[in-house]
Amino acid sequence: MTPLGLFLPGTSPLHRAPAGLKLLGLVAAGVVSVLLDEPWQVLVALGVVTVLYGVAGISLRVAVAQVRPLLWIALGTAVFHVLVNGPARAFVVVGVLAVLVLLAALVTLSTRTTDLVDAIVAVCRPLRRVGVDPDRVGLLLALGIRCVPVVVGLAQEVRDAQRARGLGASPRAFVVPLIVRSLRHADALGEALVARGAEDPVPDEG
Amino acid sequence: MSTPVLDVQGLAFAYPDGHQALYGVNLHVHRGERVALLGPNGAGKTTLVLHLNGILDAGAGSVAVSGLPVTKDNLREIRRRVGIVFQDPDDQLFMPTVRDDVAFGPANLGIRGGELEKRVMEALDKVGMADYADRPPHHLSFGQRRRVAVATVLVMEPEILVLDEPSSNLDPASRRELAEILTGLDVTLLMVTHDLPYAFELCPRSVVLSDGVVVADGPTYDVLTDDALMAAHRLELPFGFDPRAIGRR
Repeated sequence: MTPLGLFLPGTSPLHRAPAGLKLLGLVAAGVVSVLLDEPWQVLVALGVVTVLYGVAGISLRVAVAQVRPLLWIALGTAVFHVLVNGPARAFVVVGVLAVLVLLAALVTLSTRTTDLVDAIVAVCRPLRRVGVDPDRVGLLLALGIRCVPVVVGLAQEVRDAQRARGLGASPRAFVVPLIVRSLRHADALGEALVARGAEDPVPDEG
Repeated sequence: MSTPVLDVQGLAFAYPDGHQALYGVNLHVHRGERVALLGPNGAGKTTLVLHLNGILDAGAGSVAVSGLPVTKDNLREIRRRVGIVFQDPDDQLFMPTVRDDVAFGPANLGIRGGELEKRVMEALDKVGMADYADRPPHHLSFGQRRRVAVATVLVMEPEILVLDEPSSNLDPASRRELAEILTGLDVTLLMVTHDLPYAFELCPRSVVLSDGVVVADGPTYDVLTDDALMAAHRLELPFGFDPRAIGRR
């Protein structure tokens, strides 16, 4: 399992909602979050998020896993704000951060990547007039998403090889092979894309 | 004789760093043939493969697919005609789901809707992966990913299927399953491999490439039992495998 939230199949209203609507909701939540100023407001927001996870049928364990990577950032931010602005402000800042990450993860968990990509392609369609190729944007997005588990897998293998050689804390033994293998993958991916006609214009649009 | 599906004439190529990989390669593959391309590491096999659909441009000589020369103007049709299955399926599979991945090539050709769906499912059916259409490729086993990679190429209805080390990293069962799939396909096949038993099982004809030139071209049995040729080009049969004991296929 990769650290990135991956689609969990389901039939909840959230799963059935159009991807574009969910993305729009996420943007709206981001805008509204700027207005949250009081701890009780953040508590309400966290309550709403909890209800949404419940509606989507996603367990508490999975939800917690989404914010776990934030732990150290949240801790650092909290300490800073407790010292500078007091505990109430620290709660608001860290709470808003958690709410937004949980909402973004909820969109990923309840939406097929394909639907997300299609929604982005649809949003980009009007930009065709200024020379943007929406399908190319969709491909870039899909490639980006696809590369996350590949690079995480490579990192894991490199880390294992490093441990096996007893090079516990050597950044060079980790970074160099990871970069070399990532670039090699990128090169081969490029060849595969070309071999499958990614460079060629699509006839009905070209 | 009819126009060969693959017609490589005097192909030479040097990489930008000056390393000459191919020195005048001649190779003809006719419709329905199954040919293994053998040779030691660094013989130029992958370089040759990358010329077959124009990823690399010939330094000298020419490549034609069913009479159509591999030139910039023809690349689109050439890439439909020549389906390359790369060695590492992770390089070939880059879309969120198996279905999207298989659909990628034909969608690039402008095929849409019902026709696209039909072709995708037919291709997945041929490799026994139709039940996995909605799975992300990285959730599949290595053997399954390789089969999906074959489907991404079959969906283009290529005139020749080019496989780069198809049996590498496969467990014995996946290796056998892939052999069964490849045997069942009605397609011209060029298979780059170090797996000599696999070449013997699947390809009646073998071509040996060594130091950028073709040094042998004939029945796989004859190539594998020519001890002097094998030794001269660093080809070795695996322990316990003896084509003579199996006989001509």
